[in-house]
Amino acid sequence: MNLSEIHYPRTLQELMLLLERERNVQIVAGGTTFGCIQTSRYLSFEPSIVYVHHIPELRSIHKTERMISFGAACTLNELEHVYPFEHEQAKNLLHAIGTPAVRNIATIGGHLMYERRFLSLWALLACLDAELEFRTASKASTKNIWYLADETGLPLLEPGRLLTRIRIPLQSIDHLFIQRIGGSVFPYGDGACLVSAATIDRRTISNFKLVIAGARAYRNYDAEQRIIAAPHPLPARIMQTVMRMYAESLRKTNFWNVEVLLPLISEALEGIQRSTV
Amino acid sequence: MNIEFTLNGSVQKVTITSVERALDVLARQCGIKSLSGTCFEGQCGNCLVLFDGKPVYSCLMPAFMLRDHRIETTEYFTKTREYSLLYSELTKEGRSLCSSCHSGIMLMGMVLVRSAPTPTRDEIFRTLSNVHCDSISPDDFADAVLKTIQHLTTARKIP
Repeated sequence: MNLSEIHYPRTLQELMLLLERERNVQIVAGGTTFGCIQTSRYLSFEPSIVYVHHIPELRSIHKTERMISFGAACTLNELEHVYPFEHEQAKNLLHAIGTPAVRNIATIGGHLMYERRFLSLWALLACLDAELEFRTASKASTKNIWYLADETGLPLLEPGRLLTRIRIPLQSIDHLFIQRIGGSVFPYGDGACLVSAATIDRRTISNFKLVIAGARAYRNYDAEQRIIAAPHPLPARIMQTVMRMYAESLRKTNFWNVEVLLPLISEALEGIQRSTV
Repeated sequence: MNIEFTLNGSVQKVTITSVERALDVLARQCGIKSLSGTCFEGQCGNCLVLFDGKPVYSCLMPAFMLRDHRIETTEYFTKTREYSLLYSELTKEGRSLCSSCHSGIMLMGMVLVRSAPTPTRDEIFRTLSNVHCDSISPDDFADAVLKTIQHLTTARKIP
């Protein structure tokens, strides 16, 4: 049983100094991941633990005219009433994670920085172009959420970086389709989430994204570009072309189950057709 | 290491290690008898506590997270009027609460009874979902919670 040293920084600066000084640091905000994965009586951590719950910058939620930004240590329940979770489907997705008692300590940062797979909210945040603010001891940088996936779609977490904030541009969502596939998504389940979001502006589809995330993350930029700027409702030939593009690219991955996903993608596109703006 | 936190209204000083779960520290060191969880997965709900007023599974929490927080367990409420009213509503018509989940159910009930504004039935069902127990139906639980709130409101109005 290896004991760890525990630190309780109160400010971001204090935290940064600790990260610079200490090696093999484990950042803990909610701790549910450790609690859920480690089912033995005693927990095991890296030699040094930093508990970041008391850092106000990591717990705040700010909203401007253009974006919403929340600290990485905000609990999932704290996000329940803010964009994008005010949308019924997004809220249902949030509520499908554990129970309220789990969501009272599980944080959005822990959710996104889970190293083994992409958890439930990842696909939704990727669909909404979420940006992540990372800090190291010397600098801050902002990266698109896809920075957390490698070229093959597997999770890729760079060590030594601290996720501090998640920013989502505010946009009108005229169509949101969310479907969970397979079994559980945590901690080792075979499940995934398919999310598509679209904005329809003066009978034109001005924005469209479709993301599938589970053990890997998937998105077809070409198919999305084929839909963006197309008239609404989508003409049949565009629908057929797009479905063919998705079928081909999903097959190429040699990973995703095309027979399961294609009908869902078709359902998502049908949903856009039915959207009334 | 030594940590301090508020447990059921009193300051507690305990010595913890990084490997301990909050459940173990609360049950063994602090002598909280209502906590019994053994699943270590946040499944059964027998280890529920209020962490700064919000229900959490103490089996999922490392003990070091307790520092500087406010923890309440079922014991904190047992001598209150709300608790006895809720208990009598829940055990009406020959119903009984199962011994292992009794504490978790009562704690969730107290969260709801003390919440303002009055919770909706959906909110009540969601809160009850923290406890994995079939001894009471969600509808009976919701009725008991809402009746308790009603009794308390009426009692407050009477001068």
